[in-house]
Amino acid sequence: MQAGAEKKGVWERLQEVDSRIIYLLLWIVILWPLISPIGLPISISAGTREYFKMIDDLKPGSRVVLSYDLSFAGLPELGPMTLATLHHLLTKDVKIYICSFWEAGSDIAADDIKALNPEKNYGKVYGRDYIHMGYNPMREVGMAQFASDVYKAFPTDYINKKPLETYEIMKGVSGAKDFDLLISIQSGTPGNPEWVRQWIAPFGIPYILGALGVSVPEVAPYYNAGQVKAFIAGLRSAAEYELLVGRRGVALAQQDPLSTTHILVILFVVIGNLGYFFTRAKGKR
Amino acid sequence: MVTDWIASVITALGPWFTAFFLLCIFSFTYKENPWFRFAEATYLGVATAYTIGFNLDWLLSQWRTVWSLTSTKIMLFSLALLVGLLWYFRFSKKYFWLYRIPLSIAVGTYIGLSLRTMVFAQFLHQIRATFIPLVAKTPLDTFNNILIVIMVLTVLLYFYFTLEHRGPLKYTSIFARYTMMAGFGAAYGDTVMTRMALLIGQARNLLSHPPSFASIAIVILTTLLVSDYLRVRREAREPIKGGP
Repeated sequence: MQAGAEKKGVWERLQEVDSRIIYLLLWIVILWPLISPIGLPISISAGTREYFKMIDDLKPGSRVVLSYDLSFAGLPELGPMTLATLHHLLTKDVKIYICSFWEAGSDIAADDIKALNPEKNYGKVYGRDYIHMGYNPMREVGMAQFASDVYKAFPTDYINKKPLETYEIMKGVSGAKDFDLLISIQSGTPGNPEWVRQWIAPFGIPYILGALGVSVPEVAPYYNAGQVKAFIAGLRSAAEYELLVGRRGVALAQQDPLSTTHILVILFVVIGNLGYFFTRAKGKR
Repeated sequence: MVTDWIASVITALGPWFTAFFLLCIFSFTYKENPWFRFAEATYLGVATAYTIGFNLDWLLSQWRTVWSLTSTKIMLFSLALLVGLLWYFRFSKKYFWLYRIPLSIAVGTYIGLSLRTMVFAQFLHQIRATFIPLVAKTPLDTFNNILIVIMVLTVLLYFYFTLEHRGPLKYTSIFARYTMMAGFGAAYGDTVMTRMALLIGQARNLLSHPPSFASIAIVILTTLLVSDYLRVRREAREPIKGGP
């Protein structure tokens, strides 16, 4: 050993652990509960109940906009809640207007419609009970356009490429004021602030949303201000919502690895902090 | 039908493509490598093409259903297209100024539209939401409300730079710092949940088709380990530059 070289302690070595070992541990705690589920219990939070109630309390014949404002990257977290929300809406006697201000959103919505098969499983008719209005690329400007004139924002529907006004569901619909609820499942911009600016502030439409877990600090002030009536965020809320709507899906299946990875991250945070304090104390000595 | 046959082949290969590109991207956690770079470049190309294709499709549907119906509309649509094409003058040093025309239209429209309601939606409503009763129905709500009021006021004071943060302001600054730290902590927790959910979703994808996952993982991992082993051997053989 070189003269003057000091032997490193446990805490110092832990702080210098190879990141590849951390990734390996992460893979183990993810794959293990996916292969052999543990079945950890899930409680339902008040926020998810509010979101569920907003949809469940809709009066028959209500018009609901469901906007798929998400990309493929957000699908693992938002996919389960979009599917559960669409399922919940299809079980109600309401009219559903699906749209998107993100390119991938309209494809994801089409996939969800195909997966749920509203005609066969819910007795719904396309163009009478629900419609996929497609994609508008103009982001916030498109939302404002949708609010003032739906036919300019979405001239044709997504499935048949026919003019929107030819569908029965569009009778009596011209813009934002004709809708009873706006639901946006979103993974970024355009998303919540844009909807609030173009729909909620000028028209006061009841508005609920589903977001990525990382968006909670951004959405919470709007919820406190009453602009967002209810919101669910992240895979955990999606799993709670799946339980409430009685459709066990992907989110519930992923709760075990979500818990185990969180335990691992908490462990890393604790070890990292202890290491920091111990090595700092040693340095002071 | 040939198209049906191609569609069935692509559908059958779908899980293999998914597993291959996922594992190529994940291989970055081992180290930067050609697998990762290949997947990254492919993703960029595909994502850009998808966006362009989708937007062109929307433009065509607008043309077919609205803008090709009357001569006035055709003229307006052509004008809008011409203005839109001016974006490309961003790449010309000589005519760069032309690029500013569509830019100013876009910026002006966005700012005008958002400012219309921003003051109410994102300023006044938020302030009003902090006007809450200090004595609520339950002790816990009372505690929460008092905490919200104190935290909002101290954090606002934290960003008040006209006076030096000494005396009472020093203590409000410390409290505000802890308030913000709590906020950052909550944001970090939410970020962890999102990142883990994305990873779990992809892990589930991989597990849904074990043969593709296992075989591709073995190939990628083997190449990475072998290349690392060869590099270490080569470095051990080569004399250190500048050495004796």
